[in-house]
Amino acid sequence: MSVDTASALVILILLFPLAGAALNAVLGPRLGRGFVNLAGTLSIGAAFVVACVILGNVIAAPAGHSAVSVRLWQWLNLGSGNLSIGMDFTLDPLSALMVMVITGVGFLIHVYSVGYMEHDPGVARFFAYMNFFIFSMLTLVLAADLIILIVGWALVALSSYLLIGFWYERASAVLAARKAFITQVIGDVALVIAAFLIFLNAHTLSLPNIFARTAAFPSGGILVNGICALLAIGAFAKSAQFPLHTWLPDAMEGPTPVSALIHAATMVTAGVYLIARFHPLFNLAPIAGGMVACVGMGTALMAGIIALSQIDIKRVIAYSTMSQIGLMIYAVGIGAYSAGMFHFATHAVFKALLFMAAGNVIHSLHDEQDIRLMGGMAARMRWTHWAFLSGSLALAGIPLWAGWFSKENLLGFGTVAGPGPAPWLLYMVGVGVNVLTGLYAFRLWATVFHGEPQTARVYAAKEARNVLLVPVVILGVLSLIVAWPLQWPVPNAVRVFSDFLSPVFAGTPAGLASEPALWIAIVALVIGTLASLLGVGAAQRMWLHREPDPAAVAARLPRALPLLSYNKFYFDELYDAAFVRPVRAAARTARRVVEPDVFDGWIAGLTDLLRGFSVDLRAYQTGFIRDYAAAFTVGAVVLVVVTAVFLSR
Amino acid sequence: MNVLVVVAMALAAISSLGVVLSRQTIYSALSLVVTIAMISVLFLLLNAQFLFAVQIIIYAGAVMVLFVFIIALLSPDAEDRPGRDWRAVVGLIAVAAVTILVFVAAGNGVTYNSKGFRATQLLGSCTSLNAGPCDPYRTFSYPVDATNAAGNVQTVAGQLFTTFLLPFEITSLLLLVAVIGAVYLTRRGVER
Amino acid sequence: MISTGLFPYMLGLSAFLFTVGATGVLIRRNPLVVFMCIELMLNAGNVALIAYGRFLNSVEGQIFAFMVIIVAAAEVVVGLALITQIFRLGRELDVDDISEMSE
Repeated sequence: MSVDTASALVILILLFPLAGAALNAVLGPRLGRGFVNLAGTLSIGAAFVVACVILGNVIAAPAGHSAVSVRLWQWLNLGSGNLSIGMDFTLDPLSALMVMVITGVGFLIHVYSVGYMEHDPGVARFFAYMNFFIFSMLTLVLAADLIILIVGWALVALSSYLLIGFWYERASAVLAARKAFITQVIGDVALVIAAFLIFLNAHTLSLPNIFARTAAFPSGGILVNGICALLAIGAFAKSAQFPLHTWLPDAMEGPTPVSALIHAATMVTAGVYLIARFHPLFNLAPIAGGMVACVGMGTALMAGIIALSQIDIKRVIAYSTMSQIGLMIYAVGIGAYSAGMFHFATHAVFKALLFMAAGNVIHSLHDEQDIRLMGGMAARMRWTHWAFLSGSLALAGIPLWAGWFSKENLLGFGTVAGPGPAPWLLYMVGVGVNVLTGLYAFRLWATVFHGEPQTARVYAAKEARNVLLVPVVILGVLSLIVAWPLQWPVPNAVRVFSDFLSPVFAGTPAGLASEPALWIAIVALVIGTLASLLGVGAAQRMWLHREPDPAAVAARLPRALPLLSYNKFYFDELYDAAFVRPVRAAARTARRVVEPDVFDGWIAGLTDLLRGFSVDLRAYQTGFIRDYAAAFTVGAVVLVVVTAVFLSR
Repeated sequence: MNVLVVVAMALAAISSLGVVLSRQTIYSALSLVVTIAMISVLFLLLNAQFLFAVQIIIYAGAVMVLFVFIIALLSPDAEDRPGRDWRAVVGLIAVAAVTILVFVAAGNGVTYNSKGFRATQLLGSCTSLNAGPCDPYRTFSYPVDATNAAGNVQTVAGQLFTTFLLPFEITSLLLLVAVIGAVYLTRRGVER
Repeated sequence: MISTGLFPYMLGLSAFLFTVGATGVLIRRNPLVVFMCIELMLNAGNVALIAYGRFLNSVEGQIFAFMVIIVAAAEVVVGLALITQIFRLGRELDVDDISEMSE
């Protein structure tokens, strides 16, 4: 692929969503809903076409030349050896993959939004924000310059803020948007500090150059571990990992398409992408990688536990996202980059599907989201039910569904590598996560779609309209078949995906460059599959057939566990007490004490001092002629004395 | 000669005190007349005969007469006790300090030339500041009055109408302005 | 003490007359007396001028003193006219009463 082609493709793929956003923002309110729907979806559709062309070009590129960096224009040039920033973009397998997923899934979600937002008056604003989000996300994944990446990063956070708080009349939505944004700013700070450190040592901010100068970072040293830790913190904020995870459940205040696009498929995976992109640095920083892996797996476990007791359909899926991304983060933490990216790709498909299907359910029940009030939806929404089932099977990792391929692939690597002396530890936790995933996924499925309807609304529910249904069904089919041609979790079987990404991740430590030995892989496969089946089976029994009754089971557990799970491990309360309250108290003190007494008092004191001077001086202006004469006399006498005594030396 | 000077000076000083300390206004005016007369005697003794005449004619003859007339017109028996407050103290200090300082400075040869006020350096062997190496000025006692050799009035007139012609003409203008001003200021029938 | 002739005493007299006049301006309340003290100060200046003129063998001192006398005369005329007018307006002849320059 020549540089010209690449430039053209980059410009087009960035231009279409941006143009869509601009058109919707400016002309949308005037030209009406039809125009907005068309502009919003076609722009992403066109971007998807360009993404396919990019993919084709990357696949067809000769070996060794699969990565092409283009500079659209120069922004800042302070001389060689100093800062030089330009609009740099790179087209390589990794970014091609990201672009395909973003625009492909994004396109389906946009089509879905046409139906979902049909009664909303702010539809022009909605599509403008959505297109702008796609544009920012594309900027982020295509960026070849760290500054451009940070710009995309920040714009994505902005878009998520705008979209979460889309229904801004709702106080809860605004608060959730603010919470998301503030948490991501913490990650931004870490990312920017990492950028500073990188620049100080590598003297460049261009990603290809940074990766070529890894010699500037002593392997395993505290510098590169620190940089990677900071990058990881940025990734955690964006991907809602512990401890910066509290914003994701609240982000469900946004419309369901937003949850599908941003909080399932694309934005929350930006953290995974970041770590994968910076793999040359992470390869040099085993400590940071270990930290990342632990945080990822820990979050996966924690989120799985929390998801078991949530009662809002979207929150269950949100925690499921958190858990699955934890797995991806774990994968890139231990160095299995292409495994992590594969799981990202399949997860995007089935998670978006789950959200959209849930959106259908919510829509048909007239905005009811409490699963305790659902039940028996299967008979009323057949297609949605089957699609949801397909997605749940993929999520739980049942053989032949896409999730099975990617999750077992990922866990297989877990047997080979991991932080510390025992890689097996995190692997076992991963197996436990498999069980939990099956449990909560099928708890949700059973509670929503089976059993007895719990409210009258269920009886009136109808299947969703075509525009809402077709994307769901498409994704339902994809979540079955998308992995079949790509990657099988057994060594020496189909390896299309990892071969595709291998030029990017060349140089990964030898232990992960190839997969585990055949027998280990098969054993791990069996264990993982059994775990998933165990989870699914247990869920079927408990929630579908009601034996044992889940309430009875919960009552038998030590009281702490369900409480912790339901209250999300009290993180929100913890952060509130540790951060929010002290800051609020400090602000109150500043307003009540510091500002009036210290600042105003100081300034007032100064003015009082000057006023005092003025008043005292004014006493001289008595108006009495004789006083003025006395002043003259005194002055004259002083002059004479000074002259006679001092100046005559 | 010196006795006359001393007497004139003493009387001038005493009558000036009378100007300031008299309770009745008219007595102040009369004391001022005496002071002016003594000063004009001093002028005479300093070889300034023209000024002696001018002082008598204008100051004592015109200005003070005007003063006395106005006093008589406005408040002939006006009484005005000198104030005794902090301003009087200021005045007393001023009198003492300035007089003593000027006297001492003059006595020690303080002079002002192009370099500013300087005490001129005197040789240790100096006992008198007369003409010679001990002379900080040209001379410290009355020198021979070579200036007025042609007579004082001629000398003054000579300078007045040549070198100082412009100031002289301007003073005539000044007098004209004063007259107009006085006439204008004392108009009747104008509401202010 | 060095023999200095009477020149320092002349200057001393000038200083004395001047400061006495200044004191008079300070402590007297009748404007006419204040005016007379101002005249006294002018005369003191004249004494100094003439004394210096004599000692420096220069006629300029006398000419300057002449100018001073003329100016003093003009000033007296205008000043007394003012005082007369103030008197005619019914105000008291008291400088404290005429002090209207305060705010």
